Amino acid sequence: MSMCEAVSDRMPAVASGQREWTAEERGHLASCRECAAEWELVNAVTHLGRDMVVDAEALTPVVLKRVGAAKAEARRSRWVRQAVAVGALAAVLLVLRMPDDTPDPLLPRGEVAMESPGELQLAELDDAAPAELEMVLTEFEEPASPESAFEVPDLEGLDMSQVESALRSWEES
Amino acid sequence: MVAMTPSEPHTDAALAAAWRAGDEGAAAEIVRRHAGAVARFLYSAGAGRSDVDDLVQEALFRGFRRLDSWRGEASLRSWLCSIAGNLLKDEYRRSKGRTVVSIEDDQVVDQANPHEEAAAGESEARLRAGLQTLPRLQREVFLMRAQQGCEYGEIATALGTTPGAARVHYHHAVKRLKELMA
Repeated sequence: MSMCEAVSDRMPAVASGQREWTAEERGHLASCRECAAEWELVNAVTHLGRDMVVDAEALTPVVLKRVGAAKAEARRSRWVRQAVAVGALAAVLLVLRMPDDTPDPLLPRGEVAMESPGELQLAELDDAAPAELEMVLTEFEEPASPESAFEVPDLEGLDMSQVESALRSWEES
Repeated sequence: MVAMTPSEPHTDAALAAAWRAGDEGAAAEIVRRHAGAVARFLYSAGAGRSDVDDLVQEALFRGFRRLDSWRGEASLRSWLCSIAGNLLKDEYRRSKGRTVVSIEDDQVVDQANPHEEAAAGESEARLRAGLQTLPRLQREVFLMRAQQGCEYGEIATALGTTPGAARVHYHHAVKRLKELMA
């Protein structure tokens, strides 16, 4: 390390009063213009803003209060994020567990696909009186309309044995 | 809780550990030790005299919030100065490049020897103006080294560079400032 480098490295400590120049260093500074200029610069910047006074006693509680508030806010934000995440997860689970009542795109509008007739649910009948239920069941047993039922042959003109024979053949078919 | 006893000499690392454990007295000691240095750093780096108090408060606030991330590789002072430097950069961007050097503050002379004070004020103003012309890394390395007395290793850690690069930045800054101050 050259004398210039050694002197340069010691400048901050000497400028702040922690160290003192040796006689050799002092002699070098007197003879080396570059080092003297650097020393003047370091000395000046060491004292730059020395007159600035910070009231540490007043500053500390302000800083600590802000830090405490920021920590509380961070905790609150974390809690809200977690609550939102749990709520979203619960909503997803709820949706996944609900029966799919979206219309089958292959069916005409207004009709709902049914797995089997046994799964037909008529909530509007839950509160119906027994007499009303009886009436509904009776209507179910009757053909909805003449053309909706299967084709009925003309039975007029048959005697009783021919009618019975016709009924038996329907039952077998 | 790691409570500090009044007679015990405390390192910054011990104070930081005590603060993390909830000792507010340790935080007060950290502020007492470093607030003035951070103020000088900010003022020298270009902060207006009237802005320094707010900036010091903000730098310390950010420092305490992130104190868990300070591992002690860099000194606490150089670490706080690097936070202050980032803060000043943010302020500079927010003001859209408006210079934050308040030369008029330096030229207020109300001391016994007005000529001497005026000369000192002028010299200080030139130095501050010269520092403003340096690239940010050169300016911060120079201030941490020359003003705060930090070693190149800790400066490098605080500013995310290498000790060799920090030394080069310092010498570039010195060369440039010598030219400007001549």
